[in-house]
Amino acid sequence: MKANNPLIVVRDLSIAFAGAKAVDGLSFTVAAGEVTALVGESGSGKTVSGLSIAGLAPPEARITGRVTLAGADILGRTPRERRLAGHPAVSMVFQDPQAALNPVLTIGEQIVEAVRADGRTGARAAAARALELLDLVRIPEPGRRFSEYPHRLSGGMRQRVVIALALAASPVALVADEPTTALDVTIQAQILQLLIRLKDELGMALLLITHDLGVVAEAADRVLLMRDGRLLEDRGVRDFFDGPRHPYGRALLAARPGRRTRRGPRPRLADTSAPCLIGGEGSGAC
Amino acid sequence: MSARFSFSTPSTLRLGVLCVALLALLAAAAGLLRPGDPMAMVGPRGLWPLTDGAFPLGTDQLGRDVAAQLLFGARVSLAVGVGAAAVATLIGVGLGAVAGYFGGVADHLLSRLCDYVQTLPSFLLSMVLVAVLAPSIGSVMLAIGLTSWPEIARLTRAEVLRIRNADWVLAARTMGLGHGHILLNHVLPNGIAPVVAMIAAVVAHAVLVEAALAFLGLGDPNLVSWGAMIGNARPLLRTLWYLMALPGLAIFATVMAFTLLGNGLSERLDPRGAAR
Repeated sequence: MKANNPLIVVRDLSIAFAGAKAVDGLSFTVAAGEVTALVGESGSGKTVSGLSIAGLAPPEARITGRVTLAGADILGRTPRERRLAGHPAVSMVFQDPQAALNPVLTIGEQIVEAVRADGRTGARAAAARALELLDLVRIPEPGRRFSEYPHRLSGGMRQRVVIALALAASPVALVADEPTTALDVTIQAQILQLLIRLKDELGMALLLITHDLGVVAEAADRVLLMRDGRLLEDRGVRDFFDGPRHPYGRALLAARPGRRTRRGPRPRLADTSAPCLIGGEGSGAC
Repeated sequence: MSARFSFSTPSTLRLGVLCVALLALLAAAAGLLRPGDPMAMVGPRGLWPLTDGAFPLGTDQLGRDVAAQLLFGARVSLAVGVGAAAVATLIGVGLGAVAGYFGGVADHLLSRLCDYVQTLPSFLLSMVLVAVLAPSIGSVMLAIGLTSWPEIARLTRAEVLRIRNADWVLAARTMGLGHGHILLNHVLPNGIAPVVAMIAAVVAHAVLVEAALAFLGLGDPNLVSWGAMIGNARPLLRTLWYLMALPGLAIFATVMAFTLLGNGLSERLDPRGAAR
């Protein structure tokens, strides 16, 4: 199942906003056919790292380092530049399917547009491909959904459409930023399974950005733990859950609800050695 | 966007469409309903409305048919209103969208230009423009359009700013779509509803300004205009007041119709609103 040749190689990625470092010297690789979970709390830099790999970092971000996709240097290039340069595509699945779909265009119009973005596909072929994509993400009655507006769909269906949109460019890698956070618990599992199935069927790499350790345990092959823009751990998922090396990782695992550490009180996340950014009550010294 | 018009559409829109359609119909049929030159002196002077079947709305101090003048005046009002709004929309939406979407220098330039135009008293500016360009229906359109675009530009810019960072715009960028395409298909359609409402308000405003310019004698001298009718009847306010009241009512009805249309459209253009 695991392929060893890395598809995405990130070396020394640093991202700064107006002098403040959001990501600091991040290095990791993502292999094709593998689910890599990028885990961390809010503000740890996981989302902006994902955005910069997808070529969507905000223009005011100062980015240094090197990101290669199948050997091609892609950092700092917009998706359009990448497409024109003939690089393979990295697509993005967004957190909130409500916000990721244009409310004034029908599902079909949006997918057709995404398919035709390559500038080579005709209208009829694109419509056929769009129906195929809707079918691929297991949307019932794709023919009927095709001409409906996003607000008529449930959250889970919308997220399937978002995934179909992401697949339209035939990407070699998907960056999924909290793809299940905005969904009901029952739907979360379905969407995760869908992403994993698509990854296997299409041989993509999947970079799963999340703060939900349940999602990590269910879906990931590898865990990258981030905090304050730094990578703290890069381990196989089983190793990670068996016993993280970094105290922050241990504290994070212990902080999951419904679990007690065997000895003594729970370690507090704020007391671990990485610098603490969380102010307010109970955080004592920091 | 498919404009599906049915009887389940919001009543404001129905009323607005109805009123505007009625006005347009009356303006178009002016030549059929009251044939001949509306400026010709055809009857007795100062005939009150509803007193003579030949002149249902009476005649003015020179014996001209008031009904004919009102009907032909509707043509001028509607043409100037729509023409001026078209000029203002082209400039305002174009500049506002570019400024909001690209930001930076373009945004700075446009915002200062807006500030500059808005600090000038717009009515005086329109008067000067008409006077310089020589009064004609085209110059009136242009003068009103050139002074009323900043509001549209500001609103468009604000809407584009709100939408340009939406996830679906990011998604469109991941697809590698071009800026022009994203702006036209993903940004503008989502922010256009309030702008459309404002465009209708600009039509209403242009009708008023046209009337005011004509009242001051800056209208097209060869065409009947409601504003000119009111201006001409000014000395007769105490004796033949209907000569001011009737064109006044016509202006009121036109402004009202476009306001209703604008509000109705802004409700209708939002697909989420229409689904309710």
